[in-house]
Amino acid sequence: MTKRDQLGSFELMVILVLIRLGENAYGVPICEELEKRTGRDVSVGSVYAALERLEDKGFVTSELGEPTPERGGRAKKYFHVTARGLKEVRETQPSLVKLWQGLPELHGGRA
Amino acid sequence: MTTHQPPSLAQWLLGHFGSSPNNEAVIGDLDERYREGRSRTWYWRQIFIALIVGFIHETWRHKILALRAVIVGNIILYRVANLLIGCFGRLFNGTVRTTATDRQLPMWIYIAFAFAVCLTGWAGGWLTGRFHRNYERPVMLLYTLSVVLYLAGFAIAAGINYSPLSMGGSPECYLLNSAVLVGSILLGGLHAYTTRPAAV
Repeated sequence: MTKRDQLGSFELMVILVLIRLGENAYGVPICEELEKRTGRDVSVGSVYAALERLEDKGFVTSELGEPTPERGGRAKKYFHVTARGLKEVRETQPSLVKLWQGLPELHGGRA
Repeated sequence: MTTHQPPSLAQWLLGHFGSSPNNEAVIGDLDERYREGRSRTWYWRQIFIALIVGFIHETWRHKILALRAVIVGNIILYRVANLLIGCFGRLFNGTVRTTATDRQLPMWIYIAFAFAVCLTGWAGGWLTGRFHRNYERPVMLLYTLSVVLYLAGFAIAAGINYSPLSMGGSPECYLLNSAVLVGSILLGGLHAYTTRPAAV
C-alpha cells in the first residue's frame, strides 16, 4: 500500500462515522455525528474534502439522493463505505491499538 | 420566515467561486443546518471555510494543471496587456507624456485606461478559464492569487513608479487599476465557466 492510500486521522474519523450511520450517511448527519462523538465543531467544507479524498482512494462511493425544500431544492449526496474501505479500517485498528499499548502517559501516568 | 432564509450573497459566493465538485451538496447541507437554528455568523464562517478548503484541496488534487494555469494565464495577461495597454500608450502618448510633469490628466484618460486594464484582465481570465475546462474554479482562483502576489511584490520590490498601472507614479491609480485588473480577471474566469456548454 502506498502512502497515498493510507487513512489520515480525520479521514479515519469520517469513515468510522460513515460505517456507524449506514444508509443515511450524507453531509448533515455526518457532521452532527462527528460533533457529537468528538465534542468539536466541524466544518462542512472540511468533511467534504475528506470524503473526496476517501473517494479518490476508493474507500467510499457516493450517489445523489432526492432534493428537499429545507435544502433549497438541492439534492443530498449519500456516501457508502466500500469493501476496500472496510478492509482498510480493519487493518488500521490493530496498528493503532499496538501503538497505544505500553504508553503510561495515555493512562493517567506522567505526561 | 425570512430570518430562516440563508444569506443569499454567501450562497452566491460559494456557488460561483467554490472549487469543490460537491458544491451543491455543501450548500444544501449548510442550508439544512441553518434552518435548524444556526446563526448567520456560523453560515458565513462555514462558507469561507468551504471556499478556502475547497480551493486548497482542488489545487493540490490538480497540481500540474494549476501550475500550468498560472504560467499560461500570466503569459496571456502579459501579451494582452502589451497589446491593449501598448495601444493605449500609442494612442494617448502625447497626453500621457505631458502629464508626467504636471500630473493633471483629464478624467477621461483615467477612465479609458481603467477600461483598457479591465479588458486586459477580463480577456486574461476568460482565456485562462477556457484553456482549463472542468477545473476552472480552483485554477482561476490560483491564477488570480498569483496576479495579486505579483502586483504586491512589484510594488514592494520595484516601486509603483515603474508600473504602467500607476499612470506616472500615483499610488491611488496603482491601487485602483490593480483592483480593476484583479476583479476583471475573476469576472472573465466566471464568464468562461458560466457560459461553457454542459459536458456531454
